[in-house]
Amino acid sequence: MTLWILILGGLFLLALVTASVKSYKRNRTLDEYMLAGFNIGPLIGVLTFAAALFSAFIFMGMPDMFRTQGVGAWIFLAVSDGAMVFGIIWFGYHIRKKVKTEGFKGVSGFLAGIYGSKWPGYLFFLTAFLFLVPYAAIQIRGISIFFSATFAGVLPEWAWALIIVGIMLVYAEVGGFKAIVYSDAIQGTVLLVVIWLIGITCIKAFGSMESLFAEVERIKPELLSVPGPHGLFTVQFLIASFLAIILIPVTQPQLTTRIIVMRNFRSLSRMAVSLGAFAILIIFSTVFIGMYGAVKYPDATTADFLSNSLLFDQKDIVGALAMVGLFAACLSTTNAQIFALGTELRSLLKGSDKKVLAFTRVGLFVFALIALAFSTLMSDELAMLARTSFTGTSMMAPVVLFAVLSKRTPPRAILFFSGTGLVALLLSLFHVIPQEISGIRLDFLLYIYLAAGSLAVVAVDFFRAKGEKA
Amino acid sequence: MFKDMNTMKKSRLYTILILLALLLSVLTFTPLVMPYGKHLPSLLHLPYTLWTGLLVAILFVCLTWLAVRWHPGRKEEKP
Repeated sequence: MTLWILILGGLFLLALVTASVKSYKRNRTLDEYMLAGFNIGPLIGVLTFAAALFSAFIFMGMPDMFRTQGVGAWIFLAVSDGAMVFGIIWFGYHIRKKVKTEGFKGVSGFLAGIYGSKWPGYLFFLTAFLFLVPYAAIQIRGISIFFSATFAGVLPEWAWALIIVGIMLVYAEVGGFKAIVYSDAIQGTVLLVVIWLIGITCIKAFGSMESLFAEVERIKPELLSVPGPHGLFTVQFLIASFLAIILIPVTQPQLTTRIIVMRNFRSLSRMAVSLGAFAILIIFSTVFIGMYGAVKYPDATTADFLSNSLLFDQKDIVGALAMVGLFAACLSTTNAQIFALGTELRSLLKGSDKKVLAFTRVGLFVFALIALAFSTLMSDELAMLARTSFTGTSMMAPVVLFAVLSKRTPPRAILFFSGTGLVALLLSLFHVIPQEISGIRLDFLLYIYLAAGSLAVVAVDFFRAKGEKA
Repeated sequence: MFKDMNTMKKSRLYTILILLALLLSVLTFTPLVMPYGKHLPSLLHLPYTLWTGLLVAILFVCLTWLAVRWHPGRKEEKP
């Protein structure tokens, strides 16, 4: 397998170098470097969106979730993603319309401009920083643990983490957003191919899909229905996850930016429909990997299950491709998140293009270092950490939606609701306040709080405007 | 005038699709799609919640495709 890893890994790195060099232009403008000149077509669009969204969380997190929690994981992610692509059309149209009149350098700067105050921008940036850095860190950690376990004794975990961050920084700094988008396209394709090759092997190991599910039914029938063997997939949990996931394009800046940089609405529309199909295809194959693990490795640790089912139970070439695919998935999501933080920082800065670009590049370096440092402190629950990241940034949804949908300057009172929602969520994550109140999940309650707060702000604003007219 | 009527029709159809997407979202969390503790009847060997969930996800993608066709701002160009 080592030979195949070297060949396929070498080809992958060559493709990355080509993407960086092709995207490099000596006298490019700041918008070309940070936003690819607002000119991304549907094919590259769907692959970059998918690569930024799915990541190692799909490759490692979802099979493990199916294995341990059961088929409810499909409702958790695939159904929510289906609704999300519908939301992309609705939200994409409105934000692009607003961008036409207000301009766009990053979501934070966009909010600051529309609200006529820096505070909404700062709040959005802070939230993105708080929830994207740990998410990037967990991917770096996941992949470095996996590599050091697979190549025992070759390199320590921290060295693998350093290699990933090093490669990511080099091609992001050289090629900018365009290089990231091209490399995402390569990574998205690799991800889809590899995950299906592995999924098919997992079905073949049992002869047919029927035998695979029959075996799961014999061993642990609770995996075949909700709420699953550990009772995770309750209606409350799934509704809260659904809301967190459909709000991803609204509040995770790396994805909002990918909606805005599409060439036109037609390209965006094609991208959204293809993304829905892509999501179903890719998540469906993880069901089989998870069910395979439920039968073959029911009590194994996450790392053991993944290294066996993704690598050692596969043909050498598929195992090698899986290694490259995992590396690619980790790289694409991590750099999308780190680069998004750079874009957000840039949108809050003022000065000449040259000065802002220099600051942004330093910012990218610093964010990557912070993610690297954090990666030594994280746990290995990839899927749940991803969900926490989605929930955290979704607290900013009212701030973004008011900015996008208001015809006048939006009322700043909405900042209070999003801000307090964010504080409550953080306090619950640090166990200062409980994560459940009277049997109701706190994240579920926070969505009710944000919805009620938004309605109250709309009502007050409506009556104030009516009074002013009168 | 015909152009306006066409736009109005598209806009109405688009609104209907939004309402259908909302209805589908609500139905997802009912026992119709995810009954607690039941995995039968299966379809093509897939357990109940998996095949109904698959159907819901496909329906969302179909609704998105229709929404694109009937979107009032279909001709919008780059920002």
